[in-house]
Amino acid sequence: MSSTRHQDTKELPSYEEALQEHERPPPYTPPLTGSIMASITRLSRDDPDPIYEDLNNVVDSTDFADVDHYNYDVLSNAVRDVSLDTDGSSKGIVTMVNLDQYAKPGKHTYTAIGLEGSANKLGVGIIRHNLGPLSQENRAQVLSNVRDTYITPPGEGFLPRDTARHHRNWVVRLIKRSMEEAGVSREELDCICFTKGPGMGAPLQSVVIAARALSQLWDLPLIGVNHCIGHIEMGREITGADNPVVLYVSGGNTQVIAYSNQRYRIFGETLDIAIGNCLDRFARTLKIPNYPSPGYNIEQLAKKGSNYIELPYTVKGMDLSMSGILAYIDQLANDLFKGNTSNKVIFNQETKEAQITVEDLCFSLQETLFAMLVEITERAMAHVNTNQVLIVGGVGCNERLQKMMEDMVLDRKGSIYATDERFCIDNGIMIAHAGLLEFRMGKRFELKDTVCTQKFRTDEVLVSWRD
Amino acid sequence: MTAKRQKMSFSCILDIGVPFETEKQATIAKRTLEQDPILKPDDLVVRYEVNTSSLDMHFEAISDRVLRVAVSSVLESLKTVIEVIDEFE
Repeated sequence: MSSTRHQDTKELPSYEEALQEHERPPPYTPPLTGSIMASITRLSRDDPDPIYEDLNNVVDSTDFADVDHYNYDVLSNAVRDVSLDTDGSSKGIVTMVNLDQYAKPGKHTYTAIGLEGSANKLGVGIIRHNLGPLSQENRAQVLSNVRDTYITPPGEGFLPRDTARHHRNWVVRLIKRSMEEAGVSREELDCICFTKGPGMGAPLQSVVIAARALSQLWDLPLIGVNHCIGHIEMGREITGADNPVVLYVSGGNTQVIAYSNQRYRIFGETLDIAIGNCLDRFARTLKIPNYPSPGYNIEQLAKKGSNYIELPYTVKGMDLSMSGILAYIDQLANDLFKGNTSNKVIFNQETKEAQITVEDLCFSLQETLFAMLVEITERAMAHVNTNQVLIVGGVGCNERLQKMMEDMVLDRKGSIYATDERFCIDNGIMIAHAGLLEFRMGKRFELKDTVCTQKFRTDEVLVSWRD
Repeated sequence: MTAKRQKMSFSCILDIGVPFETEKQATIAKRTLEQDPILKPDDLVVRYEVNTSSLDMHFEAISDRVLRVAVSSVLESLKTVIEVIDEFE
């Protein structure tokens, strides 16, 4: 089956190459005139906070004793835990988790099917694990990974009811196609995994119905998976990142996550709307197509923009707020479309001509939002004392975000891990993968426990498969 | 039965029977559908029962509107279940 295996590790240049590349101006980045550079440099130079002074070094976590943060107790515990973990593993005293205590005798592999439908994408994937712990030598095999996206007309978002109808229409066909592509029979499957949450209620429910029926029909156990955990585990598996700070950015979530003590702990997150939601809604204001995705189309427009317009920059401690930025830039776009020449930002007050374009707006929005993400990710790296960053979630395929993050990570002599759209954007395979890990640790769900939930935080899940 | 309905003041009642090929199929449908909780138990009661190879569904609601929404949502889900059985049994 190795021919169907997708290895998707992002090709990264060596550190020296990357550094040279880094010193050259990036290819499509126009000269930054506005405050975006200012806001980044301000962080590294002028701020007396010790966290910023050592930005270019990998900092000892104990240096953060006087970081002023509302959540400092939790963070400092987490930092301590992580450093304990690192010490332990370097001395080899941490025992490996046994993933095979529930293995069926005589079987050398596990196979799982995953059903994902928490938003407008319906995904079905089949994954196979060999016995033994997962490593670079013993990788999971992607047997199939199919997806169907519910695309709405320009200017419209997807509504729960219509999305649920789309999922119901396609779920059985997609399962069939996935099984055919994988060449797997039902007898080979060990479990059926589905997204339990978080997500939109109606689409989640429409998919779990199929999962329940299938589980009874084939007499297979059901495993409910947290969508965020699916993203994180699949990202780690594909890229081989060992213990990264995870930036999870998608249409419904924006979180900076680090692992500590069997939980993926949330270090920072959005206080209002998700970054993908912010981009999607701006795409609706611009009435640009939702195919292949609104964020992709904004990215293409942003490549042609060059004037940076100053937008609100709203990092709140380790958290972000994005609704105000959206309201502000929506207003600018509306003034531009209506020809409201009294707007001094957009129109030259003497000639009454527009001095910025839609492309400039997209460019400015991306630069501002991504700079905020880079800032809190950088701080999380200092807190947990790691120099790996893994970007997952739909917005994670944005190349400008990857580039900005790469610049920051290279400054810290670290490494960045990202995947392409097959594994970034919601997919069934990640649900299968995370579900199979839970299955191998002996977790089982009764039918009554398979009710989906719209709210399901990343740190609620006990990560039993890591030590 | 009648007395209970009056006490609960559910004025809108509907019974639907869906015939399946086997009792196992009807049981799968019942066990798939009955898991999801009713969001407003004061407005709506749904009961599922398997009689030989038929799935009998009993809806009681406080208004036509609630009844219609509940029935159409259950039937939509039932369509998925039937499609799964049809395709994968």
